[in-house]
Amino acid sequence: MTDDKCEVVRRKLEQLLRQQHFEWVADAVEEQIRLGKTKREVVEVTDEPELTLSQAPPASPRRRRAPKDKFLRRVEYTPRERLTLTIAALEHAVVDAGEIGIHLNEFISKRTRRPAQVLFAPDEDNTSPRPSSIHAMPAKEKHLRKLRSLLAELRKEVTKDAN
Amino acid sequence: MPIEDDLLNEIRTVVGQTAITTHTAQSDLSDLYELYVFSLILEAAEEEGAQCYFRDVLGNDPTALIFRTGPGDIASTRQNYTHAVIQFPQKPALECHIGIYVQGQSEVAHECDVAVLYQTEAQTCRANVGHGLLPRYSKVLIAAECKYYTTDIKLGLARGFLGLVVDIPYYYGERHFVINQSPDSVMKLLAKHKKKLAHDLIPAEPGEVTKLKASFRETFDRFKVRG
Repeated sequence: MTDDKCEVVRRKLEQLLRQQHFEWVADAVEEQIRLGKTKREVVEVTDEPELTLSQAPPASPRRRRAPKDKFLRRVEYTPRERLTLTIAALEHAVVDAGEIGIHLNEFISKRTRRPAQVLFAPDEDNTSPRPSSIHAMPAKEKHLRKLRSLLAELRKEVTKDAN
Repeated sequence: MPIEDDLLNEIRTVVGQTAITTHTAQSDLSDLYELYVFSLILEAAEEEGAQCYFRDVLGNDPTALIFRTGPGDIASTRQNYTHAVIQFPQKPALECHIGIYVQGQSEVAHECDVAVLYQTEAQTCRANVGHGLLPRYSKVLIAAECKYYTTDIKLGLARGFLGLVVDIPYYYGERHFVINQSPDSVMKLLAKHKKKLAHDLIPAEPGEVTKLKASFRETFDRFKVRG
C-alpha cells in the first residue's frame, strides 16, 4: 500500500471510530502520532571544548577520530506506522475488549447459582452503579472473530509492499 | 474497487455489529481488565485446589456483583462491593479484591488494582469500619497493577509500579505489572529491575495467559506449603 493510500485508509478508520462512539480511542491515536517515536542512532560526539587558535596543538599527521555514542532521536511515525497504530487501537478497543467480556461472562456464570448482574461503581457518595457490558458479549462472538480476521487482512495489505 | 476499500467496507459493517457503546472512555476498559485479572487469579487458585466464592462487604452471598471503578477502602459500605474468598483446605482463608488501598512501608496509602490478602487482615479492617483501617502491605500475598490501553502504554506507568513495589515489598508473595501490549521501553525497564511483567495479556494470547496463571499458581503453591 502506498503512503498516500495508508493515510486515506487511516483517516477513514479514524472517522469510523468517531462514528461508533470511540472518539476517545481516535483522540489517543492522534496524541500518539503527535508525540512521535524515539529511534536509537549512533552519533559522533563533540564533547571536548573547542580549542582556540593559540591553544591549538601543532598539526598532526594522524587525524583523531571523533568518539561515537548512542543517542535517542525523536522522529515522526511514517504513514504506514500511523495506519498500523490505528488498526491496533481499533483491535484493542473492540476485539480484545469483547473477548475479555466473553471470558468474564463464562467465568461468572460458572460461579454463581443464578445469573448475576455485574456492576461497576466508584467508591464515592451519590453515585449509582453502572451495568457492565459483559452479558452482551457472547452474542457478538462470531462478529468479533470476523473483525479480527479483517483487521489481520488489512494489516497484511499495509505491509505487503513495505519492503 | 481496490482491496483496501472492500476491506474497509466490511470492517465498517462488522464494527457496527460488535462495538459496545457503553465503553465510552479508557477507564471502562480498565475496569473490565482488572476484573479479567481478578478472574485469572481465582482460576489459578482453583487449579491449585482452592474453593472460591463471592461475598459482599457484609459477608453475604451477593445477588449482584459490584466492583470498584476507582480506589477505595476495603471496608467501604458506600456500595455493597464484591470480593472473592479463596479457601485452601486446612489453610487460612484469603480474599481477592479489586481497587483497594493498602498501607505501604512508608505508612502512605497505595492503590492496588487487584490484591489477594489474608482474610483475617480484611476482617480486622471491616470490624473497625469507622476508623478506615487499611490492610498492611505485609499481609498482601499478590498485588497486580493492571493497565489496558488502546495506544502505547507510557513508561511513567512502569516507573510508578517500581515505586509501588519498593513501598509494598513482599516476603512470600508477588507483585505483578499486567498489560495488554508489549511496549519496548516498559519491557526493558522492568526486565532491568527484575520485576514481574505480564505483557500481551489478552484472551487471544493463551501462551501469555498460561504464563501469568502459572506464576499465580506458584505463589498459591508456596502459600499452601507455608500456611
